[in-house]
Amino acid sequence: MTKRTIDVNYLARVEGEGSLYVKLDGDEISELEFGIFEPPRFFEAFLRGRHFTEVPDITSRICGICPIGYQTSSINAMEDACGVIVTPEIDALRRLIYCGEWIESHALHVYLLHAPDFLGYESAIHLAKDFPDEVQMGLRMKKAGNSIVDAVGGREIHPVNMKLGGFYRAPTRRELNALVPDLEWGLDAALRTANLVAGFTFPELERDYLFVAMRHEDEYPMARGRIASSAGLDITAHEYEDNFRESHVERSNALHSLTSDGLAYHVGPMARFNLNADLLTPQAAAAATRADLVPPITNPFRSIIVRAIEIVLAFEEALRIIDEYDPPQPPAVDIVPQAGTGFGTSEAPRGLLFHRYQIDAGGLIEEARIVPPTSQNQPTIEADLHDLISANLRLSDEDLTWQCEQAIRNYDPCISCATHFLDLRIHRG
Amino acid sequence: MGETAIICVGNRARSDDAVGPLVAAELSRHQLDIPVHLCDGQPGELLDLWDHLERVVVVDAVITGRGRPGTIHVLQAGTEPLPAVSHASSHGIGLAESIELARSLRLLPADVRLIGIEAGSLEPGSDLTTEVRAAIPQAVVQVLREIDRA
Repeated sequence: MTKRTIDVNYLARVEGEGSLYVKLDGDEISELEFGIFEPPRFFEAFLRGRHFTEVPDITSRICGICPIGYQTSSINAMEDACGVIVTPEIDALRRLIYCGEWIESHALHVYLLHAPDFLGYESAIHLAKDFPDEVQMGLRMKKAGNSIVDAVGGREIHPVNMKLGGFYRAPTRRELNALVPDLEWGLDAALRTANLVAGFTFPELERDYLFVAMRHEDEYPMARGRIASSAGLDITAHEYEDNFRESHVERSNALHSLTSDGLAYHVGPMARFNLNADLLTPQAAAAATRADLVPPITNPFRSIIVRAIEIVLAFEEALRIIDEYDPPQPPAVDIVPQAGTGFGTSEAPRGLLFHRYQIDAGGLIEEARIVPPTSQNQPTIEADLHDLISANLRLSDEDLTWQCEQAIRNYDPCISCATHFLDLRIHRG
Repeated sequence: MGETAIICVGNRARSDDAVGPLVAAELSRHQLDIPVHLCDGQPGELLDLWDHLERVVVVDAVITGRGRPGTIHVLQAGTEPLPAVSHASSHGIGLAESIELARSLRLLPADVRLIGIEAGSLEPGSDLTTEVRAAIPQAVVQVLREIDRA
């Protein structure tokens, strides 16, 4: 019986540092470990004792790619704790900045991190030599997304304008209108991107996933809504911890999430699409139809198309919101601390992001809990790899390693966030 | 016409990777007539910063394995590929990859000098190693020398 290992000690093209170790005895996978070894970041601990108004600015520091997700979920939780409901104008501005984050995060992932896998290039640097126009298009879309975050959030990275109850300052109509030409270009580029990635060749892998994503009756989910699943779950953020739990796994600095029944589940663009395809914006829906995307999508490699569709959606939504923009006056509603516990979620680019805070009557944080999308996807990533490797044992170690890395990148794992990610080793021992 | 810029790359929360921002802070005392930018090394941002520039001087912590921590390396990245230079980034794409990506896209200025300061530690934390902190004045002198070379 041949034994072999696949061992990737440092996984490239993911956010953060992680590894994959696979040990094969003949056709049996005896070990499979997807590990996260970026140091734990202890955010939950150092939020304790801080004032509740500080939470958006502290949690935004967890991730340079998805700060809006962290800010939004934390704000939702604090507003929940204090019984605050914001105005439709503030909701619209929150959705606008969230569109910016989806665009910059997805464009980076589609072009620089994931497309090289599908086109057979070692990296975006190699891809760029043969496809300079496409890579530049991706970078320019990312820039357009960043410009939204800059205009609404005050700066591109770790924006500073979001606060509990709304915004420190509402951007003027003129400031937002200045974004329109780039966003119109971006919408066209996103449509071209969707056509481009839909033409890729996708490795065969179909899995029976439990999809979990937010759901809002009026809109494709970003900053608000309930939590839904492909098994019929329909709950508020308050009930999240009754339905999902985290446990520590020795090999990883991130916690693994499972349903309370012990099942792995899938969050992120595919889950959002599968549960909310009826809420796609017109051009996103048309692009999905052209790409032959009919829910449920169960081949995780097709997530790259879903990301492209979500870029289309985000550009459309950003343009709509700017067109209808009415600056919130005042830019934030007052918020007075109330002793109690608040729960908040939002749809970060990589999926459902849950926050819970307990605060005292003076607004000091007594307890904080943050469950990022990558830790929720970790058991599902391992299950995907298990099925992928089992079905492709005839491949050389090199080809198998390539497919494993590509499969991990289906989830655009943000290891930096999850440690509060890869290093791939396949051992045919 | 402002065709030169200094770009200091780094992360203040990653030990010696803070050397780029600290060199920028020192350069601000010299009242230079060319812009000094801070950057996290991401490709989009770098490509924007050096768009239409002919010359850039990039300052960053590097690990080459050649020399002790604090050693200053001057590399001409505009005309030749960078040797395997490791940059501390918690993201998938760092400075070296960004420079090579720009080269692939033919968006690299003709003259890119990398002033790389050999790092001793890139672990999370705000303290620099003694050697790298001590190298900051020399790195500033090297940047000024590169600017004067024009």
